[in-house]
Amino acid sequence: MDGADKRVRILVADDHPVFRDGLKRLLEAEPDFCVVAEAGDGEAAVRLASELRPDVLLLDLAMPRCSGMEALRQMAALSLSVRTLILAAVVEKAEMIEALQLGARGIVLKESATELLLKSIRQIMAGHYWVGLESVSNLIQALREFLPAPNPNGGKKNFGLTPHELEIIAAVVAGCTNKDVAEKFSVSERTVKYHLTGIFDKVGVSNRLELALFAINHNLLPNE
Amino acid sequence: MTVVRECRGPDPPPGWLPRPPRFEVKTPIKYRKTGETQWHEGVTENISGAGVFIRAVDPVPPKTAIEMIFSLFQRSSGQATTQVHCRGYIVREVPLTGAELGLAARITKYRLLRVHTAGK
Repeated sequence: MDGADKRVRILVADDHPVFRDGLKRLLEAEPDFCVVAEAGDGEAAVRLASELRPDVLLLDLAMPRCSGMEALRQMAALSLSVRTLILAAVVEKAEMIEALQLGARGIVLKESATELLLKSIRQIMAGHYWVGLESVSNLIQALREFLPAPNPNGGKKNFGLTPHELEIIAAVVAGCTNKDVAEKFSVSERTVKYHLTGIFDKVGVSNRLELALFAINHNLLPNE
Repeated sequence: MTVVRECRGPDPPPGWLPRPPRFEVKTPIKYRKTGETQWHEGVTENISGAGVFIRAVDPVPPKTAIEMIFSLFQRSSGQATTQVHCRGYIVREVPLTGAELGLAARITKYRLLRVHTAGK
């Protein structure tokens, strides 16, 4: 691979070596995909995602030692922004909700057609979410069951942002540069950039002005 | 949780980027042609990270480079949180009612400034 490689870099995490191998061959048959690493459990998935920063993580849920869901929790806690596509044999409704809340970009069942998997990867790379067609009706029903009814009197959504991320947003909206934010929170500018990338991903914006507009529009700023 | 949507239809073409989200923000805006000293006043209709639509009376022909300044206000308190200084150019001019016209401007550069230091 050279520096100008535009292929989608994929990390495959599944505890079955034969499945991983088959999936790797399938993905690498596509000219725009390359598999950068394989993980046999959730712990390795988190470590490799952190080290290699793949574009996409294909993550099985049922894995030994550290499950896919636990890996998602760890990545969310680390603010590790990797587009994660759950690739599972079976997904319970509650798991679907939790996975999406933890930042997964989509869910594909292992029984799905190959084309559907390839399409789902391209869709999440284009910034969309993907939920396998069979699952959607389940998901909507589950959302109704699990989520509280909307509160017309100001239920405030936080889009999965951590309190620290909300503080960073407030600083950016107040006109702070990355350097200012770094000084304010006693971290490096690189860490600030890293947090901002995660924030941009979570709220779906691509620059600071959009972030400011989004934060004001969704009332994410602390009251003065 | 972010909106989950079912994806159908053909894959987007290579290089395709989604249109930046537009926010309905009505806030006073000052604009002037680059190099001009006199500011003109208008009100924004909507703003995105890449452009702004201004309701104004002073025309500016398309492709003219302009500077813009507007403030963003916190919804709950109504206090100005940020002043935004932008450079860009007019994309199109559309007639509105009466003497009013709409100016669609592309933002090519911007700076978010703290309100207490802005405008110096």
